Amino acid sequence: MKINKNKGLFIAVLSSALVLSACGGGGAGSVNPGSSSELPTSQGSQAGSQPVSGGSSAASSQTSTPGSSQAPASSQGGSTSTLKYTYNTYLSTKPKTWNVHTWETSDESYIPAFTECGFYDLKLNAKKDGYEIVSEMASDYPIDVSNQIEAEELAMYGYSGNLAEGYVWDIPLNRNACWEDGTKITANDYIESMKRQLDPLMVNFRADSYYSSSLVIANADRYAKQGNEIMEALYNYVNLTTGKVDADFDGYYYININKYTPYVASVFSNADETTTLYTVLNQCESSDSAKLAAQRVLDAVYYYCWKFIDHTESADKDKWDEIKKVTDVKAEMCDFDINTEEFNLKDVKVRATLTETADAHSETYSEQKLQADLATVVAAMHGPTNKAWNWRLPLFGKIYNDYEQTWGDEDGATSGVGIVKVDNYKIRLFLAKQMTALDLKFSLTGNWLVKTDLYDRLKVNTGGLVVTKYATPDAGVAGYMSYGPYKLSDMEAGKQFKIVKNEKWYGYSDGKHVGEYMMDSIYTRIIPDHDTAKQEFLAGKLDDFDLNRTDMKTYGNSSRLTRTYESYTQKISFNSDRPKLLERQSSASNNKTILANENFRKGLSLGMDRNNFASQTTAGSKAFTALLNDLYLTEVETGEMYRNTAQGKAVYNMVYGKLGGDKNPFAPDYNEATDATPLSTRSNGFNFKMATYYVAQGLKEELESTETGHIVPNAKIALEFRVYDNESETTKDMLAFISQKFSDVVAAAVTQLKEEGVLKSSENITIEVKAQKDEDYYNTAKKGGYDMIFSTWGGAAINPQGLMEVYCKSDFDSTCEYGFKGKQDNVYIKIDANGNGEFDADENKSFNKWYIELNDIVETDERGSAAWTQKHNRILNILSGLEAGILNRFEAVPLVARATSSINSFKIENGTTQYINLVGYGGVRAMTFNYTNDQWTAFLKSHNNDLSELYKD
Amino acid sequence: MRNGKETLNYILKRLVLMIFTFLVIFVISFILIRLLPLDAATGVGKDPDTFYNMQVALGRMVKANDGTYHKTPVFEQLGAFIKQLFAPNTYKTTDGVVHTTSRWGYSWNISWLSAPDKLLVKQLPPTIIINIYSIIVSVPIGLALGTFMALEKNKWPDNVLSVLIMVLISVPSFVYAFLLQYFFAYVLKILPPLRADFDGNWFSLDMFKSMILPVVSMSFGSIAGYARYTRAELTEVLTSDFMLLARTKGLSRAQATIRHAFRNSLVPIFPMILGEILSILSGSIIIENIFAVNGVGGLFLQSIQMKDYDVFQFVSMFYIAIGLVGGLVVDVSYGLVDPRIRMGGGKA
Repeated sequence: MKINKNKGLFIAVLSSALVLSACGGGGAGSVNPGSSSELPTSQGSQAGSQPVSGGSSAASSQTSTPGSSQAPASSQGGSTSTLKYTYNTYLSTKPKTWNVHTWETSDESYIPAFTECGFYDLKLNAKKDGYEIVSEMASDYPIDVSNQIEAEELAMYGYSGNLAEGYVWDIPLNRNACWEDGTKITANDYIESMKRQLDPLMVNFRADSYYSSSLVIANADRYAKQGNEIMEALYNYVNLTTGKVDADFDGYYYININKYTPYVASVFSNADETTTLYTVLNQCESSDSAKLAAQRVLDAVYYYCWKFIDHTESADKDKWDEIKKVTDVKAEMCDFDINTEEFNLKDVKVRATLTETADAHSETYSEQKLQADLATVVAAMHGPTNKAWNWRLPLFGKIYNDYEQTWGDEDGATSGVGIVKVDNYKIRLFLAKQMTALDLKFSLTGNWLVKTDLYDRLKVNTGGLVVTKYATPDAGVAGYMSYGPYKLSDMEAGKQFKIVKNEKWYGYSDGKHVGEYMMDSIYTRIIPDHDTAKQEFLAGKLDDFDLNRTDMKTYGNSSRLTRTYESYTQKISFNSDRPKLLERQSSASNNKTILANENFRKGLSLGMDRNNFASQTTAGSKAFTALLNDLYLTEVETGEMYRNTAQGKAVYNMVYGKLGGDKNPFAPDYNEATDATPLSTRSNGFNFKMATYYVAQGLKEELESTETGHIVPNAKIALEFRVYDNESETTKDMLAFISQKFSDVVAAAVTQLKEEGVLKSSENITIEVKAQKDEDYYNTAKKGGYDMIFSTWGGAAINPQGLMEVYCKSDFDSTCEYGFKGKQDNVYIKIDANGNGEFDADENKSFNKWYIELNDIVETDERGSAAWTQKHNRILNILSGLEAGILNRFEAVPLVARATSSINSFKIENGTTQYINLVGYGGVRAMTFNYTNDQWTAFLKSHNNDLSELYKD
Repeated sequence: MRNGKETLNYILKRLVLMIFTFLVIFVISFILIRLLPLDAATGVGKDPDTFYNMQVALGRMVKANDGTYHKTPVFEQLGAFIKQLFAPNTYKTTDGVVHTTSRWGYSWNISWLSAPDKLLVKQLPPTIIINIYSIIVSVPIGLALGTFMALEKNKWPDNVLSVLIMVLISVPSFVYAFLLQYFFAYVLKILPPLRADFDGNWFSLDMFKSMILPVVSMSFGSIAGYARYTRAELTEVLTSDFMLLARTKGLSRAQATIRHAFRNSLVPIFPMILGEILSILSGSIIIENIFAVNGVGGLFLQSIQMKDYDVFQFVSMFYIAIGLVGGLVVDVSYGLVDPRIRMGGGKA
């Protein structure tokens, strides 16, 4: 669907919402308000005086009798008699809410996309070949006041020392902004709305947009989470004079050797967030007593985790099942908060002397002994104190946040959340994370404003929750207040809603929106059935229609076709974890463990012609071989697309560089220097010959393997492909395609193995891919209960670095590549981050460490300066290095960069015919009309209300 | 119904059984839906704690000492749910206003914070109206067709209609729905393809016209069913000995058919009609989707798919109650229609 608003950008920037959509099948609704620019409306007089831009349109030449005074086709909307330009559209699902504090899906952000405004917005530039940032609810760009704030005030928000730029920003507000009832919107509205957004008693799914994304308002998380118990390092709370814990906590102490605590930073000057208590204990060797104490602590933790924690539902169950003695336990397996009192309640054994190992089990441990040992360690490791209570320093506790975080007073005179009113039309943001002005503007393309009196009036206290019916179908139009170019005027929950021009919107009279927002109403119906929507569109009663793969055969060449690109890359994610695969396979002759073989996976990847996959099974997606598609920007100001940078382009070569040609790279006479041939980028990672070699090599290695459950001759490789909807035609086509390609390449590899004598002529190996419906497949995948799935991650187009979290962050919960899950800390990769052409000593780090570094670089220097260029190149180098590193594991095998195709009626015209990153085709702001409602009715009548033939060309 | 007391006893016994059945199904439904996994949506920069804390506050999950979330034991949830059904459901805010909360909980996934009963009631009118129109259309036509076919048994009109009826029974209703919509709305353009917007009057001309296609789509199957049953029953009755007696007593064919045969043939058909009347509260998912009716058709399935526990519980219990009451009413109606049928008589 075509209507796109800035809201989409807000979605992308603030939430970076990832979607693991069931490929092809389970997608959300058809409307995608995400991805481009603003709302429309024409100023009453403007719209009236604006000529219908029919001349340029093919459609306009077909107008039979424009100007007919018949009732408009859109009169189904009910109130279009006085409306000139009505946009008729549809949603296939019903939004459950459109409250900006709680919305989760794109359908739920659909209404606010018309009725609300961000501080800033992106719109098509004058040339219509790019975008520009404009102020909307802000009157001007943000002003960096970081170095103008008094130290005393800074301290209230947790800053210390001289504050660098990019932390404190003033946002001047638009003085003309008002609610649809005419009430002015002032700084108080923003402050009070944010207070409700972060209200710890409320269920607001968008609250994390202000503390978990790139926009991190100081103390926002602490405020939002107060009243909750949070496991925190006690180091921050121990009074170094009295030794008491200055926090409201339950008196229990917890030990977790795998967590970072600021205590370790007091021991190691170079400690970062990946340094844990384990590092301290492991390196505590200053004396025998200290070494013994440290070992005993580790023994106790290992023993407890092994014997007393239930791992039956753990993702690491297999690893724990293999443990036969304490010394088999690895530190990284023990990421548990253990209540130290447990050492009194359970029979935990440790070594008694240094000469023993943990397996000696010679001494029963206790909480007191743990405290004594920790005290010894802390004293030995030159912690901050030698006091008897210093055992508390490395521990954790459940801290209650009830009274810790106040909101602060209106003027920000007391410590509080980092959003304060400077005057009636200026707010100040104190950020916990440094931001550039540009990033902040992007982050503020959305808003958190709600009409607080109405919002409060609609609150419901149910059980332990406080929730509001503001902006819900239940409260209806009366339970919502607009402040954007349009307002909600009528609705029948679940059936339709009407949005009309908001005459009170400042944009109609400020002279800055001339020629924008031409339409004066939007009539949206809920039409769940795709075919019904199609018929409505062909009868001229809808102005856009989302095409599916079948429709593409008929309308794929239509002049009215538009393609909307998404940030999602659809991939196959393989389970490469051998123990888990072994557990899943019924026998070696019904094999799954082959997926643990990298060469085999690589061969399958090379065996898929992604160009054919895209054209045969999708409605507009394009073949793709990387993780981050063309939408991702690494330089927002200039629109620099990551994929167009030298580093972005180099990734293909880093993965497929030597996989062209048709010589077997595993043959004894293969000479890489002379035989290796680059694989054409046009082939999109497809080379059947090479696929055969790699699959054959993988099979050979596995046939000769000594691993339990390895593949045997005459085995069938039985792969279960978990999909959201196995009945969807698209999914069926995709699976049929993949299954056929896998079969082809395995058959070819088997022939090769027979020729090589690895398999006898009577022996065979086949592969079968079976679809398994699993609506919760991503949760199944994160527990390893799958062979392969479609994983489809996407995120903020301006933050490709952030998206790498899903592949590289060691504690990311939903990693789809189970074989790599949790290993990001242990698997190292060399990246030429400084671009000097060599791998320096400090350029070999774990994926997780590279990821952390990548996201810690802030480009605050002047753009184009040497320092800026160095940082920028470093970002690109690390990003491309990580991307290639993940791809080279062949656990995540990209297939297509997702796109949706839709078709527009002849009535409307997009702002541009070329898709432009971040603004799409210009959105509602730039949309123009070729026909008025009356003219459109006449046009339809002249074609007997059937435009089906017209849309084919 | 020879004995009123016997019948009353039978009804009471059935009522007790019905309540017991209702409770068993209530518990089973509750347990099954709550056994489905609960997982927060995940994503870059997302804080799943908001979701999990919400589940904790709703009593569906508990937070363990190690910070992980686990589902509350299902029987504990059941206890809390039953308590909520009977506990006071009002509270007073600091401004003195008394608020009432929903005893059946709230929808969190289909329609944020809508009480399940209100959600159902809000979507019932179009479903009920379409079903009533359908009954009004299908019952007389079905009976008339069946009677005609019985009277014309084995003649060409009967054969033609029998074939047609078999087609109507065999083809799923959504096929008619698509065809009817396509021809009457998009080709002939004489009827609206979708249900009209509600403008405050469910019985306006526009609304009526817009319901014609879904009503006809839903009626085809019913018409065929009634016609087939009526034909079969009436054919059997018409060949009965008492019909011969009636004719020999001097009744005309029409008199004998209407006064004796038709009434007797209604014995199995009347409960069928009654059952249909009771089912006016349930909608067809596919028909409602095709014509954008926005009725209750998809509510039940949606509540399962979206794990909207409270909506599922209320909607399933609502329909189960109707089903149970309907079963009882139909059974009792046999006795009303045909006094020869004895209720709860036990052994003869």
